[in-house]
Amino acid sequence: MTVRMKVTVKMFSDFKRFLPTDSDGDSIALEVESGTNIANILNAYSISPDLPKVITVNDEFQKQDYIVKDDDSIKIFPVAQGG
Amino acid sequence: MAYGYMGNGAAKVLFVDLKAKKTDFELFDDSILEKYLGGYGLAAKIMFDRQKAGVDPLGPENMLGFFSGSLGGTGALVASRFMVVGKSPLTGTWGDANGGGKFGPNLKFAGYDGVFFSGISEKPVYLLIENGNVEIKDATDLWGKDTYETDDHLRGIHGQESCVACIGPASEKLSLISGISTDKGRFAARSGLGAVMGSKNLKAVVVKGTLDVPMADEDRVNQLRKKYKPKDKEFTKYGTAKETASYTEAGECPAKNWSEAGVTSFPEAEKITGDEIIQFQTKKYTCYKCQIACGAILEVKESPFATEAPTHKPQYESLGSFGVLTLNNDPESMVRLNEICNRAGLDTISAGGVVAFAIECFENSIITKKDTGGLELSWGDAGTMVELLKLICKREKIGDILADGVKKASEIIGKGSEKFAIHIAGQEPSMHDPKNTPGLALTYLLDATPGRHSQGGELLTPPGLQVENFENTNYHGRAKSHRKLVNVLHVANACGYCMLAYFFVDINVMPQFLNAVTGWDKTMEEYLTIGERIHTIRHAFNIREGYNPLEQKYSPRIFGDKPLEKGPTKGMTVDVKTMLNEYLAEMGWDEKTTKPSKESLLALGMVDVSEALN
Repeated sequence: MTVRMKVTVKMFSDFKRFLPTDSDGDSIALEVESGTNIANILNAYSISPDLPKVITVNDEFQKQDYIVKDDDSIKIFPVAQGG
Repeated sequence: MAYGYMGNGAAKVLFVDLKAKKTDFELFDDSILEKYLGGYGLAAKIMFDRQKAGVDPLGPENMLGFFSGSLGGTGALVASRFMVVGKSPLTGTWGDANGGGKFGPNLKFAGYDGVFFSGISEKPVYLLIENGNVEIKDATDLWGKDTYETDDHLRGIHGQESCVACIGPASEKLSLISGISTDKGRFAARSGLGAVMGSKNLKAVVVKGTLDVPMADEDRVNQLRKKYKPKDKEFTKYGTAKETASYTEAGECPAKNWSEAGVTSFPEAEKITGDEIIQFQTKKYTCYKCQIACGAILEVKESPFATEAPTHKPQYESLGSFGVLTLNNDPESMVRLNEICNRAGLDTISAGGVVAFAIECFENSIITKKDTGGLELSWGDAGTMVELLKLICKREKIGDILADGVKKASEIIGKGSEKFAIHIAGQEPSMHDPKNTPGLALTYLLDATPGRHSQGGELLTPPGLQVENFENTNYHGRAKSHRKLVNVLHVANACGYCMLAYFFVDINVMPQFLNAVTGWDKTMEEYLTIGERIHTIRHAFNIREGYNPLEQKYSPRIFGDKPLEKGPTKGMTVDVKTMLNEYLAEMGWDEKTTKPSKESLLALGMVDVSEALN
C-alpha cells in the first residue's frame, strides 16, 4: 500500500514565480508518496535542478536528494543577492 | 574626449585646506582615469600618492574625500551614488562609505567630480560649492543640530534645490560608528567617516549648480538608457525591506548577536518585512534619475515609537540589525530606531551590533543596571533599545563606551566581553552570514574595508557575468569567481552604480555606458582590469599602513568556529583558510602578509605602487 505524506512547500522572493497561478499565498500544501525527494517536487513545479537555490526543511539546510517526511516544512529560496 | 568639467578628458577635483582656509583644484586626465576610472578609484589613487602612512585618522593629515561616480549626473544606468573616502578611525585601514540620493550627481552639477578636505578648522564650518564657486562658511550655529535640522537649515539658506551632506551630533562627538547624511537621512554610513568629518569641524558640504556634465556621445547614452531600463515591481514597492523574512529563514541574516540563525530562533521575521514596514509609508521618492525608485518616506504616529518627523524607510540591513540580531519584532520601533540613527548620524549596522553586544553582556552580568543608568537590557525589548540608542548618540553613561563600536567597547569593559563583540578588525559586519554565503568570508576579511558586504563577491552577482555557482558547503575552487566578482563591483562602485539596480540590468551594458560617456572603446575585460587596480590600490594603502588582514582580530562566531546548534547553518564552520589561501595565490598576494607581489602589480601597470611597497 502506498503511504502518502502531507508536506508544505513555501517559495521565497523570485521563486514565487514558480507557484501555481491559483495558489493562495506563498505556500502549497501537498500530498506526496513515500520515497519522494525534493528534486521530484522541484520538477513538478518546473524548477530546474541547476538553478542556484537554498533549500531548508524544518529550518535546516537540505539538498535536493532529501527524502521528504510527513509534516515536513520545505522552503525554497534564491541564493542571497544584495541587501 | 569629454569626461569631467573642462571638456578635455579630465576630472576636476577640489582640494580644501580647512586650517589655512584655502581652496584649489586640479585636473586629472585620461592618463590616470583610464587606469582608475574616476569616482573612488581616482580618490584612492590620489590618497595613495599624497597621504603618508601612519597618520591619525582623526588628525589634520587624514584626507576626507567626497566623490561622485564617474557616470554621476549623466543619467547612465542608475549611477546616483557617491563615495566618501578617508582613513578609517574605526578599523585603522582604508575607509570608504557609499551613499545614494541626489548629492553625487549634484556635486557634478556644482562643478566638481570630487572634493578632498585636509586640516582641521578652528571652528565649525561648512563648504558651499555653487556652479564652480567655492566658499568656506561659518557653521558655529549649526553645531549640535541633528542631520534633519542641518539639512533643512542649509537648504533654507541656499535653496531647496541644493543638496547637503552633513554630520549629526554623534559625529561631532567623534563616535567611531558614525556616518554622513544626505537628503535628510540617507547615509554614507560605514568606516566611521562621520567621525573624520567631525574631527575636522566640518559640519556640512552644500552643493548646488546647473552645469552640464560633458559626455562623449550623449545621444548614445540616452539610447542606452531607453533600451536598458531596470525594472522590478516588487523591489520598487519594498526595496530591500522585502528580504528580512527570507534572509532570516535561509540563515543569511544572523540572529541574537550571531549566536543563532533561522526561523526557529526568530519566528516573527515576517513582522519586520515588506508590507509590515511600508504600512507607515507616506510617500515614495527616487534617487537621481533612478528608474526603480525603491526609496520611501515613513511616519509612525500615536505610538511609543512615534517618529519625530517623516523619515526614510529602513532597509534590510537596518531591519536585520535592529530586528533579527536583537530579536525585536516590532515594526514601529524599526522606523523609530532608524530615525534616531539617521538624525544623530549613526551607522545602523554598527549601532544594531553594539546594542546586541550590550544586551548579551547584560544577560551575562558583565554590565549591569549601574552601567546602563537603570536600563534593564533584554532581547527583543524595543523600548529599552530606543533608550540605549539615545545614550549612544549622546555618549552618556554606557553609551559613551558603545559609541566607538563593539571592539573598543569590549577592550574597555573587559570581563570576557570580547567573545560577544562581533566585529572584523573593529567594524561590525553587515547582516549577511558567511556560513550561508561563504564567499563573503573573503570579502569580510580581505577587502580594504573589513566587515563590509558591499565590496564584491558572491552576494553581488550581476546578471550576465559568467561565474561559477557553488554549493554553500563547498569552499574549494572559488578564487577565480571571487576575483571576477570583486573586480566588477569596483568598476560599478567607481561608476556610482547602485548595487541594487545592478541586479536588474545585464552587466555587459555597463561598459557600453562607460564608453559612451568617456569616448573610450574598452571591453568588459579591460574594465575588469581597472576594477582590479582599484581593489589593489586600496589594499596597498593598507599594506603600507602595516595592516595584515591575516593577523587582524575578528570574532570567530561569524565563521562558525563554534558551530550553531540549530537553524539552517547548524553545525557549519566556514573553511576560511582554504578560501583565503586559494584567493591569495590567484591574486599573487603573499600567503603570510597578503602583500601583492611585484609581478602582480606590474601586470596591472602599477609600477608606482610597486615602488612604494618595495
